[in-house]
Amino acid sequence: MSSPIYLSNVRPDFTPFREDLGVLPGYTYSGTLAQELERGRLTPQQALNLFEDMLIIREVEDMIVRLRSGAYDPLPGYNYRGPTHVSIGQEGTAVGACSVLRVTDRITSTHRGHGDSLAKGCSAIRQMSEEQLRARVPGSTKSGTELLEEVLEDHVFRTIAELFGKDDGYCRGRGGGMHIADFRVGHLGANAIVGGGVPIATGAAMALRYLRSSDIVCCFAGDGAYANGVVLESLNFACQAQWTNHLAGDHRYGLPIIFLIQNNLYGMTCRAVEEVFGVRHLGRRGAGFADNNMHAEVVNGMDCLAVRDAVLRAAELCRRGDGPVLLDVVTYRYYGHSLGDPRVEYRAREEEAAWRAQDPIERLKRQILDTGIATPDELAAIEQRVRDRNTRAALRAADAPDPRPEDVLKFLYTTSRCDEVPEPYRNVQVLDREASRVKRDAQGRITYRDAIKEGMVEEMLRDRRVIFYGEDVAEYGNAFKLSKGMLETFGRERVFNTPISEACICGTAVGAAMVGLRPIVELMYMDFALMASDQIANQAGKWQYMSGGQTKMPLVIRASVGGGKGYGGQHSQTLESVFAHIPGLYVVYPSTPYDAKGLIKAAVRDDNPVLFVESQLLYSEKGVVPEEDYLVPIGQADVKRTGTDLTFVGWGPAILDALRAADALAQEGIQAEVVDIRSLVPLDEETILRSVAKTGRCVVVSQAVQIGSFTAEIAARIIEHAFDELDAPVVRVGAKDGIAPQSHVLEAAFLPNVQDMIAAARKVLA
Amino acid sequence: MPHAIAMPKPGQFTEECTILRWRKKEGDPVAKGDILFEIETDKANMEVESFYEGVLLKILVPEGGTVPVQTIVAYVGQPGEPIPEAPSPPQPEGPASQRAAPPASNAATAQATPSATAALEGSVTAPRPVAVPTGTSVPPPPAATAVAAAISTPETPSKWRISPRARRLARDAAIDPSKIPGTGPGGRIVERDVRAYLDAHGYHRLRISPAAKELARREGVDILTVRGTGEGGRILVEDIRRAIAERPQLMSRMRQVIAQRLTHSFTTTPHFFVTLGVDMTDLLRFRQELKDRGAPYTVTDFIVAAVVRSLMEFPEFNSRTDGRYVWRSTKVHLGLAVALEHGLVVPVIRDADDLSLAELHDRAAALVQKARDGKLTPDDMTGGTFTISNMGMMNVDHFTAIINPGEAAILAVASTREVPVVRNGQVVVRSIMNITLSADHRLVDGAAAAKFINAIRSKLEDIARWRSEV
Repeated sequence: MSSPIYLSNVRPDFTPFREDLGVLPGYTYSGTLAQELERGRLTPQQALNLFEDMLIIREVEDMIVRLRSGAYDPLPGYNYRGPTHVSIGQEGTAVGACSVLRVTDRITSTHRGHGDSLAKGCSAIRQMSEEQLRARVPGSTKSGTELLEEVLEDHVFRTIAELFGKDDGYCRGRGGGMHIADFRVGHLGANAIVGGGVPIATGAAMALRYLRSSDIVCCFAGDGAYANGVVLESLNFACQAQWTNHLAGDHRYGLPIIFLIQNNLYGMTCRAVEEVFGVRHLGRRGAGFADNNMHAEVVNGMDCLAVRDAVLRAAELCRRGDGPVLLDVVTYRYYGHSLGDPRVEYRAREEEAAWRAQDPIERLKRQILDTGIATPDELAAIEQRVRDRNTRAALRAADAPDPRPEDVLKFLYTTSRCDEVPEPYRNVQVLDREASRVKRDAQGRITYRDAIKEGMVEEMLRDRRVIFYGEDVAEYGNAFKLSKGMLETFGRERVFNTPISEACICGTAVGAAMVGLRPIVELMYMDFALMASDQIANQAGKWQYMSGGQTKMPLVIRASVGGGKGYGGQHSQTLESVFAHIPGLYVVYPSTPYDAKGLIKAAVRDDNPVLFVESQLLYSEKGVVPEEDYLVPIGQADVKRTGTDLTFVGWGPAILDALRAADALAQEGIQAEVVDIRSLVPLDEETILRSVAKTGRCVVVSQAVQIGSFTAEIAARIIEHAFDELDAPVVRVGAKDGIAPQSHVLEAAFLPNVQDMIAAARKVLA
Repeated sequence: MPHAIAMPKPGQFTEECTILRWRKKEGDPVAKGDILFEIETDKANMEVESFYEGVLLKILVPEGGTVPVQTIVAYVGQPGEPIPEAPSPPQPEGPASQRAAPPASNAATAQATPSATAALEGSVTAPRPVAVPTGTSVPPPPAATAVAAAISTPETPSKWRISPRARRLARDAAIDPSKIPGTGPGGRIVERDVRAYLDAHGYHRLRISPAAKELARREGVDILTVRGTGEGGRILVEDIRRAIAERPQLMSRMRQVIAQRLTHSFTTTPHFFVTLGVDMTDLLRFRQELKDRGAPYTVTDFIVAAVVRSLMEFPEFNSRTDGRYVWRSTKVHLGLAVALEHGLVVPVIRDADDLSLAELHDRAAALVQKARDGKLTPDDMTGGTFTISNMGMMNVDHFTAIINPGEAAILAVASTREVPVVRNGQVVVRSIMNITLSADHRLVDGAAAAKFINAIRSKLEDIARWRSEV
């Protein structure tokens, strides 16, 4: 097989030209229900389903509105505590789009996502086999339409139960309306961070492409989100040339994703077009990211059939490998941002009336009556059925048990791990194994940098689901030559460069993990993690919990710390403490080559999201690392040196300094123990406390600035749990509470060193 | 909303009070006016009534707890009402001196005194009368200081430092670490100090029964202070029990105040004493006559009346001094020392110079009853200008009393005895009562005291005068 290495050879060519940016079609659909029926694109039953599904959404949301004023008659006085971001008016968009998606197609949605969630569920349920239906209501004895009805009611019930925060809700009461998800029908979650779900959807599409799936992703996001950086980065990420050009080899396949803008004219209250955007039609954004304008068009979102038509065509494009597609679906939100929004401050009543006159449900109802596929009485019966079903579901949901308080942390982490790779993923194609093989010296030693690579390579050889991407990781072998040779070994499908978009690097990993991959992504400098902080903290860290354990999050984010090299304030930060403050993430930081290999491998196999922090100061440190497969368990500290007189506890490069300090102290007959926690989260408290119980004196060390550092967390836990063991106050050693300077003199003063540790030791030994 | 029950502020200067006893339990119904709990101030014990109807929902300060006045101590409300998330009440704690190390040597107690003295000096305008007779007649030391003792978890003063590890080692060894010299930073006692101390005191040679050690640990007995009575000096449980029984007990708040104030008075006021026998024969007979006629007067009433009138004649005995100024009082507010089970209180008959014998009788009787019922308010016990301590019922020949801070003198009244005396050259049996005046030599001299005490005597012996009054 040919080498995946590609040397670009672009010559200067300044020949004058005029590029035609093409045409943005809008509102081109002119079909009617009669035509759709006639052309066989819709059956009468499907038309009635569209009508019913829109009604289901409106009924649930109308219930929310009524509950807030005590006017939902079936539940008088019920105290509804959750958010009230209703999408009434937008039902045509949700239902029209979801009606053409397959059961296994994925969606992501927004804080105003009840409609998308209900529509995706209804559409999927209506496509399910009897067996699939029964799996959703175990124990049911029904069949046929009765079974379908039971499952539909269960769908409404689980939705309302989630809104009510009940254990029977889709997310076990952990997510609520703004984070509702049903992974069984491909709903990867509503997202309460505006735009937060868009890179996730992009990553899911990337994974589906990698897995050769014919499924697609429909990414719902509002107009407001299309001013958000991560959304625009996602459009670019999705449109990368490398998915479809010669770099893709024989798998030239665009990301199968429809970016569906639910353009309801308002980003909360800001007026999209008139106020905060510079384009008349958001669909125009497509021209900025792909030469084909992302097949962008503007669609009438008040016409369920128009949306259906557009999404049907978009889905076909995606399944052909011609994605992504951008659809600017213009719709209207009858209510305000939430029920606390009186609307009158920013829009005219006449505007609302004009849009209400275009109501998507009334529109379809008229067409149904016009075509005669149902009589007014039959439609009234559907309306009654929807209302009664909702009443039964709401009553059940109100009576359903609350989650148990003792389970407040359930689903935060999973205990599962990939100990055995499923059969389909064991077959790994290797191009050039030698290119990434690590050489050992005579003592069997390799560097910390190579240890990480060896761990990644071993895991990629073991499991085809493991892919590795980030900035400059391919031909260049990453900024520190850490991944050199991995592209040659695995090819560009599994080792590829990304745009300089840390938010997308991390966010796509979340989506890929949700769809079944086990990505390793790289942040060239840990400082850049802050660019991706939403995706790391709000997405990777939270989805296991917010989905009530519906998904796992097997991804590794590697972040390289640049401190100590004179790179200044934006390339030198030790930020793991920041992420240790985010429950839902694991945070590890090895200090030796042995630990680095064992931990990266354990991180890849873990089903929780792991932030793997590494230090550039350590990259060239050598140590004996076994060639064979081994894991360093996450959450297990290591006593790097035993002693009786005091304990150094810490992590990262500070451990090496602590060991040097211990050597110096040993000259005076002082025996220091050095405990390397290796994992900040989960923290191996037991090993720390055992050591402190032995020595009675403790110095906590790291290279992080002192303020808010995890060293304080360790000190606090020692004081809390081992107070009686202490013979002196716990002392911390870290960087000064400042910014890493460029000057090497200043940086030396800024960072902690061996002398600081010896001084701290003397203080606690006094 | 439940009603918050606050610690009352019984007197103008009361800053904190101790809950002696809860008269209602949580869950008990409470009617308006029911007694909820009893408190001990630095002056008196009082009952606190409820202003509210309902149920005692929650007790926040347990018996023995001392909290600042106005602190919420309980909630009364309707059953099931939620208790507001109030900021947690200050932890009940003992008085300052209680936090000092147990005064095996009195050093810690002595340290605590200056501030208390300062407080006393600062409050001379509101003297707090407490008088204690000296000599053989001191009321028995209070046996029931259980309330105070229960809350006196001995703690170390803040400046005394010990590392947690050393503290635990000392606790495990059942020794008192306060005697250990510390060699850590700032004199902190660290583990090595405890170990050295144990070695130096031959701790490891001690033979201690495990049960005894456990008991010593639990009760905080320093095992190094215990002499073992078992075979070969083995320390047994009974040795620890003995040590517990003999260890210092915290005095009640009332006794502590008595101690502070009288120590101050006795050590800063130059006392001198003048004693005189009063012939009570005629007065006793006259009183019996009155009693037979149904009049209620007691001997004390006559003494009070005699003293009040004498004070009007000798105003220097109705004054006070700081050694530089003299404050004369134009009114007589007469304090009467009343012995109680656990101490002594001095209710004050205000404006006694305006009162007839009958009125004095009524006022004295009412105050004594109130005192015995523990219902004196702080205002009942402040503002005295002179005090009488009457131990006539206690079978004593003679005693001297300590002047109440802020007064010029105090009169100690002993029992009346039938003794042979010479009258007109004849030995006759008369009923003689010794009275002893303690006076502040800064204000008055012996001659004045002699005149004053004789004025009292002559009034008591002048039956004709009493006859005209009743």
